[in-house]
Amino acid sequence: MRTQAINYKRKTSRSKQHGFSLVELMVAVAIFLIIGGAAIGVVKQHAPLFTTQQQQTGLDIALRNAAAQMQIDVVNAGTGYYQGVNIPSWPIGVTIINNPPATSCFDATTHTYGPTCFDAMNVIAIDSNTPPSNPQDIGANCVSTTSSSLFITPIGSTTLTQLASDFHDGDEVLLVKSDGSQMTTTVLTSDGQISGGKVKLAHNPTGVNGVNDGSTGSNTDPLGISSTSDNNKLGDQFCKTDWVLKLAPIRYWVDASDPSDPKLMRTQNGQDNVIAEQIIGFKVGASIWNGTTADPYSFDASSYSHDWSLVRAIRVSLIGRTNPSGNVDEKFRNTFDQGPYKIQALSVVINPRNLSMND
Amino acid sequence: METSKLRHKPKENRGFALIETMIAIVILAVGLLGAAALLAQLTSTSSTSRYMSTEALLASEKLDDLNRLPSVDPAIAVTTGNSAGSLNADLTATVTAGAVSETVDYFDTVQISSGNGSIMETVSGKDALGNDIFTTTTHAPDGTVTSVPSNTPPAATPDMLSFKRRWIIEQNVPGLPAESRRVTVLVLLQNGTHGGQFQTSMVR
Repeated sequence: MRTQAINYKRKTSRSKQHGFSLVELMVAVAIFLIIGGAAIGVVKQHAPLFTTQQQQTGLDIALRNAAAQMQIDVVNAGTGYYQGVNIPSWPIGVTIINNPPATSCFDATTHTYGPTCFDAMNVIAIDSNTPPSNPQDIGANCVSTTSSSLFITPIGSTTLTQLASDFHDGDEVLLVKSDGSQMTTTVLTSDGQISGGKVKLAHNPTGVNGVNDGSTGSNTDPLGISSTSDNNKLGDQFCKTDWVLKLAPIRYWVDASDPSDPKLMRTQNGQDNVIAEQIIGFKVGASIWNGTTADPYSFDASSYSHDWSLVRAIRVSLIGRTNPSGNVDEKFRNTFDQGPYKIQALSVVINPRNLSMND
Repeated sequence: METSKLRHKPKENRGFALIETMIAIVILAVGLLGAAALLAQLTSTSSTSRYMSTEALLASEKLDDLNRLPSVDPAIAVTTGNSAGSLNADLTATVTAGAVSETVDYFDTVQISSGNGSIMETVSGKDALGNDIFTTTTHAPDGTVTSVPSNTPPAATPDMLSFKRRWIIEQNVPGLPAESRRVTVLVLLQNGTHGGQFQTSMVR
């Protein structure tokens, strides 16, 4: 009670208070407005810069993610074959589908990119859930992949039922000689069946020498392992000490079905995943090891006869762009394709470590 | 209570003077300008981080490039002492490993530019005869990629970034298996002020 009384008394005792005059206040406010306005102007100048930076950082992260994913996959290319399947010169790790350059794939007016601007790459890995098996026709020592069925024998403790249940219509299998000197691939046309004490695999017959270039109708090879006859590692005769392995490949490709937003895709087990959007360049080159010297990276697989066993390292060149519709500076044009967006390029060298290297 | 009453009473409260107000406003304005300057600072920091991320990529690319070579290759052989190459200077040496003798650079430069309607990356090096060689990989919008060696460096363009890479190969590193070698790559931005540097190692 006493306190209140004092406070009250104090307040009332201040009778002579001078505030600002109106003129003083207006001068002060005017000065504040001018300086404050200038400061806001500076901040505003930086606002679009900030947006651009954010977009570029997003692009940088997207490209790096894509490269990291590819590194993980490619380093393990060719892995997944079992102890006991000891192939000294493993013939394949990655296959590369180089699209020939095409000016028509890129529209400089609309800044759209078509499918032929891009390469594709397959990481050839073996399905680790399916045990390896030996090819051997009933009553014979060998099989020829030019016929439409082949018979396989399980190894170790694997039963016929287990082995048959691992193969399904549409699976792609790799046949490879025990010394890695020859191989071919074929796509199954029905599930595995037990027949005559073996597992029967019905498949698209390959051409002569195991070539799957589509010349005899159904003998196509979506992975590009055996789609050209110039690879000298192809063959159609496989015997009971050789191997049949089910493939679990990973495919990297660019989905340009929406030319305004080409997407880098990763496909595994039939499942498509978008790795990065707004990808306007994806090319894959190979460093070829001919025993003495490494040549510059070749971006044309026919120059090394599609001989995948010579691929020592691959070089992936990725180019991405910021979303063209999110452009904040109307006048900006990049120096790459004169588009109204920022671009970023990333190239990465990857060694498929499981390929047959001399060390 | 009495004391406080006495202290306040004689004082006359007269509000701020104009000069006081102006000083306050100037302080406030300086503060705002500082905030704006911070944004400008942000720009340079983010370009530093962008260069750093490029440097990290170039370093891992060099490591993989060296890893591509078989262990007997002169480029990664350690024939005298416990190391070959240096991170502090551009070293060149003639290395004999097995039957092969080669001039080996333990450094290179990488020049990147996006002018002329394509992305260009030029890496310097030595060819089999020991001559300087500049391999330029060009990626154009229409999907044309070429990898062309030349004996002359590329012409400088305003947007060109130039990185220097140096590496060292060490053996008998304490704590590592005797047969292993450690490769360390250092990457520096040569032009521009926000470069920083990046260093990474790999054991094989």
